Amino acid sequence: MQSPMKGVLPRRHVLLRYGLATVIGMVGLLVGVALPHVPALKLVYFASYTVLILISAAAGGFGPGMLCTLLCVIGVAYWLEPAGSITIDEPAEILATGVFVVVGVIVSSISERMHRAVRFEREARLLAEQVAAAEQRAKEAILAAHRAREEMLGVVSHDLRDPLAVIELCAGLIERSAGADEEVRHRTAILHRTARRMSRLVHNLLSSSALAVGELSIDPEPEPVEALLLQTVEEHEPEAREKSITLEYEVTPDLPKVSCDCDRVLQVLSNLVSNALRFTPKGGRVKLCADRQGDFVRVRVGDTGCGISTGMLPHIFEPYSRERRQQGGRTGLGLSIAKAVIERHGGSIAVESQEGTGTTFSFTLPVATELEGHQEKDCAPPDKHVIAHAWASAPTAADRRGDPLRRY
Amino acid sequence: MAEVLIVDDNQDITECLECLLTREGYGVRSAYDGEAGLRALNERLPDVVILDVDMPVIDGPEMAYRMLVRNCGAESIPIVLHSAGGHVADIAARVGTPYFLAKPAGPDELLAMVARAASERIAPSPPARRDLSPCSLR
Repeated sequence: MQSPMKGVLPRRHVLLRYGLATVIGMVGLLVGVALPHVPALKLVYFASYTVLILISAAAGGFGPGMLCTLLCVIGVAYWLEPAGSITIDEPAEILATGVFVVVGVIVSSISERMHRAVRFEREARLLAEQVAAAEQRAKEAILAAHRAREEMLGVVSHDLRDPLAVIELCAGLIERSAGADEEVRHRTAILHRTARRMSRLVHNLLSSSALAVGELSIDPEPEPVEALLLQTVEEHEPEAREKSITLEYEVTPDLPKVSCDCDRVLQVLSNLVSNALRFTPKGGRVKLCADRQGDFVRVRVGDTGCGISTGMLPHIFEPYSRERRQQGGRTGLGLSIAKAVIERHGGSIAVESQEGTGTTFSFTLPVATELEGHQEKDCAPPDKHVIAHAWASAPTAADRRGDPLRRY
Repeated sequence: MAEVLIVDDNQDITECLECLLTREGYGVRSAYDGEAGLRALNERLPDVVILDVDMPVIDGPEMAYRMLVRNCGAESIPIVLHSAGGHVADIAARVGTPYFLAKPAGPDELLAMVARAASERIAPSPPARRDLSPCSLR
């Protein structure tokens, strides 16, 4: 590790450090030899020597400082009485020389410490810079990995949705040709249901990936809760009918609008209801309720299904958790996405369950304030066939590929 | 009965859509990319276009743009965007069409959307239209 030097020479430059001290010391010595002995100038003389020692020690450290001191002492001895000779007889002058040496030692020590401190500070700064750079590179690598995964998921999801569309359309065509054949209609209903489940999974995969890179966008607008529940119920009605499950919803009258991202909350409701339908046996009941709780509206999705085991309950909102798998629960992202979405809205999500009796998921959404959203998104489609699948999600690679909107 | 032009590079989807729409009484033609779609428009203008987004040669939004600037009748044809990518609603908003479906859309949704487009006949009107300059016309 090389320290950039500005007046403080690095350790490896031994020759340079001692060489400089020698030169400075020789200057001091020669001055001592050449300068006439004027007792009045004694202090000035000593002070200037001290400066020379300071320079040597500052540049080179303790060793060079002491070398300079030694050379200057010779100059001092020469300069003191008797002038012209380096012998010192008088006690006062011995003392003066002694004091001078001590001063030299002190100045050298202090300079050495400062020298070290500056060096350490430089090294620490360099280290900190290198650590920061490494951290930055690691962060970028993680982000790049996330983006690569997101891009891959985008491509995969796009490539999965085309075949799913074919399955849905073919199932529809078979249905139409089958007429009143109940068995065929039953099978095509399964095709529809499965295609939609796969589509939901793909959507969850994308959302989960977007969540991981912090790119899941929430765009809240004031929305009527009843419309959201209605749309969810209508979307899952065919599935419920197949299993003879009663799917219904109820809202208290005069429920205020909530501030929410319509598409995201529909995704949450869809995940909860599809779970409920999946784990409720034939003839059961799934009910959606909404009521006001202070500044929030609480939505509950309750079922009369098999319930969630106490072992699995604490981990129910974790994605792909080992505990969930061990407890035999479905692996899946739906609930972890639901939790993330609701919390991004400023609400909370909870679950109550009893094995053999049923489960109720409940979440809260903030009541929309009057100042919010001068423009209401038309979330409750008067044409109910339209938007069930048109969930907006984070831009996928397919959208970015070739930049289809470059013209607009 | 109305005529529909299907522009989608997935031949299975195109075949299913053709079958579905023919059963409902629509006249149907197909093209497998934007360039073929524009050639089909040259021959005869349909009543509705079902347009995929990701296609080779010329993609959906590019074809919609060229329909807009050609100024020969194609700009008034309603477009139903039918896409497997995310952000269909956003792409539809930028293209300026109120009709869009995200794949996989069921046959009922599709038919309802096509019927709506055929009866309302709202042509695409992108918000950026006012920025189109004469030199962009072909």
